[in-house]
Amino acid sequence: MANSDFYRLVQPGGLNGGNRHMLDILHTDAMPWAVAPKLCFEHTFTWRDLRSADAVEQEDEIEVGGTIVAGNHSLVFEDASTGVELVTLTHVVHEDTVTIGGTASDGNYDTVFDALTPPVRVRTVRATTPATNANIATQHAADINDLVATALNGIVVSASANSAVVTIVYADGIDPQTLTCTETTATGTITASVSATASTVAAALEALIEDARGADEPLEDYVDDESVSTDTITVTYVPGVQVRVTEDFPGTSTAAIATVNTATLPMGDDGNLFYANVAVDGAGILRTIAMDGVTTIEATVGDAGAPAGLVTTTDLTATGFAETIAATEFVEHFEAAFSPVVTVTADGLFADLTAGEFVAQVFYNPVPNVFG
Amino acid sequence: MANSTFPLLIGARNGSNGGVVKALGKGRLQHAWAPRFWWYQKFDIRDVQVALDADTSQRFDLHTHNPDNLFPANVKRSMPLFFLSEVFDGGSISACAGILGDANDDNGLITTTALGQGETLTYKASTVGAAEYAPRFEAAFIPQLGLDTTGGNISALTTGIVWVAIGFEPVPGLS
Repeated sequence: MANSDFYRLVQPGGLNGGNRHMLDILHTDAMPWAVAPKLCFEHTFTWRDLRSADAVEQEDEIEVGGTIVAGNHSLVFEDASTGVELVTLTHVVHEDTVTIGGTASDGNYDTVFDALTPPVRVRTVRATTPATNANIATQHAADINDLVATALNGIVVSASANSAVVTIVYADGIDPQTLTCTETTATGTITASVSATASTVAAALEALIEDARGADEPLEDYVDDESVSTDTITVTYVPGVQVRVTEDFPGTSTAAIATVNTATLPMGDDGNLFYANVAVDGAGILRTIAMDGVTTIEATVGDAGAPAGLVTTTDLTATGFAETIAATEFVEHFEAAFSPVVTVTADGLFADLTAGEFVAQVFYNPVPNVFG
Repeated sequence: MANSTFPLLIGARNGSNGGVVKALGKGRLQHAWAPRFWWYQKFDIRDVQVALDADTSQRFDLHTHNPDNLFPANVKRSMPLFFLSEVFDGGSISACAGILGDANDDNGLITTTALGQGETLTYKASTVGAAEYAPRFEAAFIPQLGLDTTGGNISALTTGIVWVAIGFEPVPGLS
């Protein structure tokens, strides 16, 4: 049995009246098939929507590194929406260690605080006594303590020895100290180092953050959780807030702060819902104004079950229409109850955005719903 | 040579849809309008024009089922869809599945979809992985519905209604 030609009824055409004839036929119900126009469900989002998004989620990674020196290691937390400082958390590294090594020999073991003006030298002389490296360390600590009230006043609070290691404790709030250690023996050695490491500094700061998010503390309404792994602190924030974190580390101590903001934005609103029981037929993002203010900002389109099912990661710092033909749900398919969402991720704070606009578009075809 | 810009505003609630209909009616768009249509057919097991097989599998030519509702020739065929209106059941049958395709590929459009006892009366999920699911031009497509039963033969079916819908878009005919 031969199929009937569609254009026995109407011949689609442009300027030959075919389109008008198609409309006329549709009005008369002479067409045996149901017409279902392809429609576009769209939602425009601007940079302001992201700055004020209730569903913003932020996570920071703070990686402590560099060569740790003595001094105040501070993280400053600020409400990015208001610019108000929330709290400054400071861990003071104020311990240096001086290690006596090699084979104990007669001679001078010097530790010079050479950043002071004038530099202060602490000299321990070995002439048979003190005999061992541990003895030299004990004497060296005592020699340092002798200057605590005078030349090292306000700089060093105490020195102590444990085996061959001297630990020097500094006063809070002082600038980083530079120690130069030299000895004039053939086999003995004296070296200085900071006892703190990136891991210990990270752990200390993580503990301070945990305290600061306690009840009635400055970060209570901002920080949801924090953790530390080796030298990296991970901070997750309460949904809806944006927090700017800056570091104030001394000398060669470093902190690299990586911030990620993510917003899940439902398309439509109470007066404009996506229809039930339709055939979703592809989607795209029309980027009308490039986003500006952060380095990287990207969006996907999908639903809660597959946030990138319709459009995969798309750069919002560019302009023009973007689609992802290979997206897992791009091909036309039936959806009983589809709730489209746009997910935007930036490598900085949405609060720093200064421009940008895009239109998320989901195309769909109504399906027959008249069953006699 | 640069592409020309589409001459109409396409938007949601700014009156542009009315403008589009007007432009179509007055022949102002120089390209052929090819709206999406749905061919759809009710398949009631009680109304089939052929004998039901004493077998657990049978294929039904939907042009034979309703010669007054033929799938149009020379169109771009697109998405298929089942709407289950009444479960397929009867005798000792415990399950019944439906497929959709044509004589060359009986599940090319819709792969195995449960239509029997316990199934919800509603639209059924698309099977986008079906071999011929992707839209394509069809000169003469004859839809074929397939039923496969468990626990009893097709001939034991006493109830079952499924609506079969297949989208299509016309293509310009030769002037």
